[in-house]
Amino acid sequence: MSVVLRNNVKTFGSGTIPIVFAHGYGCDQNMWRFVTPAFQDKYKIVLYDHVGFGKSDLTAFQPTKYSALNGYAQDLIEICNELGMRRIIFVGHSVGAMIGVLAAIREPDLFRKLVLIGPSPCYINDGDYVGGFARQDIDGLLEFLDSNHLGWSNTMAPVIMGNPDRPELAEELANSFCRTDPEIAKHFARLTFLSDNRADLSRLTVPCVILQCSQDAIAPSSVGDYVQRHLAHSSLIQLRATGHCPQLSAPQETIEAMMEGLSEGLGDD
Amino acid sequence: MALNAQISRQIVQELYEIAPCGFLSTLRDGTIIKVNRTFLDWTGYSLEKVLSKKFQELLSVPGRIFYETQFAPLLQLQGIVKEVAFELARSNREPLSVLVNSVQRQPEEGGVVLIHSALFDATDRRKYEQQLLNARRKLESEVLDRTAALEREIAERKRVEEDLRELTGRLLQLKDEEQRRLARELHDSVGQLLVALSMNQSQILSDPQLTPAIAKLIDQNASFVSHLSTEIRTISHLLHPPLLDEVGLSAGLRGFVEGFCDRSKLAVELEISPNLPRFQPDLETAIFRIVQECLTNIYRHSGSDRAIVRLSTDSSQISLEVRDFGTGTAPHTIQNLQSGVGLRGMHQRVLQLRGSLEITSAAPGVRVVAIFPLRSDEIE
Repeated sequence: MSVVLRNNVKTFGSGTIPIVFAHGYGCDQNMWRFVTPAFQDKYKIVLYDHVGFGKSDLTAFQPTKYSALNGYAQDLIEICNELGMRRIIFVGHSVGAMIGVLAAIREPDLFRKLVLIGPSPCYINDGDYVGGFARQDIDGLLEFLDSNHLGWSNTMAPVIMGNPDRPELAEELANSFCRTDPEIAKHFARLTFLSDNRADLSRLTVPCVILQCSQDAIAPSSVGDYVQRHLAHSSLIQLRATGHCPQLSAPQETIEAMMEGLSEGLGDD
Repeated sequence: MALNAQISRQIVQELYEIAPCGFLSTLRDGTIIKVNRTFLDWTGYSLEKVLSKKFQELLSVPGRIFYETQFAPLLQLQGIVKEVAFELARSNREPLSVLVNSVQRQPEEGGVVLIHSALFDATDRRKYEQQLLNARRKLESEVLDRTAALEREIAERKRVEEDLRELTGRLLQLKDEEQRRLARELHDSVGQLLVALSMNQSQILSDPQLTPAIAKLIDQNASFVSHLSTEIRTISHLLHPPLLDEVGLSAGLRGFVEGFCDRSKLAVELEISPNLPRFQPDLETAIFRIVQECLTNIYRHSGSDRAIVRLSTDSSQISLEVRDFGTGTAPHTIQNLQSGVGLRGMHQRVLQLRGSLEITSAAPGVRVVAIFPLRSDEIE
């Protein structure tokens, strides 16, 4: 199975420096639709879906390999190797950001700089650490997913039929969210929200820039500050955008912050 | 009747305010800017209270995670999301189950992005769904339990089968050992006594004072002793071929087949690969016993006047073939044979040595093929 097919890897853009985008929990590479056009003249854009999401190969999903975020980090490393990419810029959202951090700890030479949008090394409150959630909230989320899969297992995407504003999205999205197997979706939810990678942060040597949203219920500011304090070479850019997905709700501000973060310390090759 | 403007306005107004679903309009970040009366009635909030909140703040924590990670992104990407099951917190903190449909329009130039949502009371539906979900979970858990129980049962049966096979093997081995011991006893003690008896008879016969009547009796005894001697040798031979241990399978089979031909008047062709090596004693015994069993069956049941025995080997296996040219056909014959102790014993011997046994019609006659896998340590 080619890695490109397995992870539905898409490349475009006219630059030479690769910029790899990794989506987070609950979505796929469509998340980057509004920000990639701003980078495609200067960079080589690489998009992919984590196995189990979007148009990835569902048959490649092995519960053992993907029982930890490191399984997904391994895929990212394999994509870089398959495409012959080194010294990439990595942009990760939500749990995708942590997957990039884990991959960059294992293979620092593959990475030039990480852009982490709404990262969280641990979602559960633990003593002084405020992750934002209690353990029972996550159990509740799994229940919630169950009831929604029962209620509208095939609905999320068919609704797009005849979307007058964005007809170009129809087919693409019809095969996106609804293709997430309910069991895989729950597996990834459990893995994402019960993961604890706080101890890994200090092992990262690649420079990072963190984009922190205002009023992000999933990754609150206290978590962004924690990540920034524990990553050796990191800076934090505070966004005015609210919510957890600034690349969708405030794409222009996100693009500007990414460019600001990338303008420093990229160096030459 | 044509609607006049006033009635039209009334319809629009009432439809919005008292429709049997909640209406809620928010800014892109979820800030609530307008709701209808149905929504206020259902949730118990005052208008002022609601207008200070974001929609996602009314959701349960799991719902809020879902809203931030999937609902809002989908709405941004595709402009519409339908039938998502949320729980809203009412003003009295009681949850309200709703199904939410939302649309987001691209604004006119300079306009604001607005999200309009319709909320349907799904309390009853949620109860049914919860029952359905519980039933599904119960079923799934029962299937898991039952599968695990079946797997345990299968493992247990396999273990018992393995035990049984070991036991059968041990029985066959004991039987072979016991027969060997009996054969040796018969030969060593009874045989020697008969020799002594025969020598005494000769001495008595040479006594000149013997009356003719006694001499005749003694002579008769001598013939009984000779007969007994032959009988005991045959029994001992059948119990355990004396040549098998000393000279090996090849010579042992030749000796047995020769004697069998003499006794049965059956013409048996014996083809053994040249330079057949020695094998482990249990393997040699098994092959010998199978040949013995097959030839006895042919003699008793097949009506054939000849038979072929082929024994060949390569580095990985030994194959034994015994066929006759009689009236038996395999299915019928096998059915008969399978009820017999002979074939069952044969089959168990083969299984014990991890081999395979096949009985087929050869038209005319029946062919029995036994294959034994060879490990290098089985060649001596």
